[in-house]
Amino acid sequence: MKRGTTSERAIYGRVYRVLHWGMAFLVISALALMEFKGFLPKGKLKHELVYLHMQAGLLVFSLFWIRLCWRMMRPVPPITPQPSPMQKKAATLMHAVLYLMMALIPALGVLALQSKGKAVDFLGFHLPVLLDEDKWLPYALPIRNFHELAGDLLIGLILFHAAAAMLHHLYWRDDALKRMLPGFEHDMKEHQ
Amino acid sequence: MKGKATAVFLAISSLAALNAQAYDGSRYEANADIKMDRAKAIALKAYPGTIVEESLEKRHGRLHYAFDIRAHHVTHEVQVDASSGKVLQNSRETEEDDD
Repeated sequence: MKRGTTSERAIYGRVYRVLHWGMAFLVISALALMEFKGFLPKGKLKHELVYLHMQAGLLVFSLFWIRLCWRMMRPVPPITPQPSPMQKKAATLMHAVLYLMMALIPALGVLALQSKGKAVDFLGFHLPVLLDEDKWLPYALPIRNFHELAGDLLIGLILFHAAAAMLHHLYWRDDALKRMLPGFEHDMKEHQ
Repeated sequence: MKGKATAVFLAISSLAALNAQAYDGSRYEANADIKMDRAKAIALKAYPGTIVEESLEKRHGRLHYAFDIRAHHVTHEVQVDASSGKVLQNSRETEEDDD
């Protein structure tokens, strides 16, 4: 594929962009709710924030599988001008870790609750119990701590991801960020 | 410039690492006379079981540890004063306490 002129450039499809920004909103909301919760004493408000955190996390987990399928089925629009092989490898690694985190962190959250005998609801439905409290109770706190540590790591990865997008846009002046933004459909060919 | 970009990435990663906390409220730990291990031992003596949640909370300017301890399918919330080590609360967890 020839690259370089505006008309030859490609953009992510609308579905993928909606998934990307929608999930970004949910992930950031889930993380912000947890950070805010840390400043509150136990009580109704804290309980409701935790409930919202769980719902946002489980929505991310559900959408993750749709996004993964979509990503595997559709070609990723290339960046123009082409980044170095090193940058490509770094980006692939970063995306793989972000994808892993989007599935792992909500799953750990569910397991942390179930291992201490708590039922987990998602949009009003009870999730099936995967861990038996009698067997897994001693692991409830370690699983919870791992869930929280992974959440902290995800905050760093998101900052890193956003900083990389800005570097692409402002310093390397390629279209890595534009591929994911609305409003460029007229300049760039949409990858549906 | 690549060096600068790497420095920016490292700075952001360091900020993220600083954000990581061992448990809720661990930022108050330096101000607590009683440390987490001692507070855990006091709480488990008050209600023997498995700690499933632990935090250090500040309320009305005073620090206390809050533990959820589960035994025989019942969770108790046990609070330990972070200055004196006194057990402030040892009661069955309500739905609102559950987080």
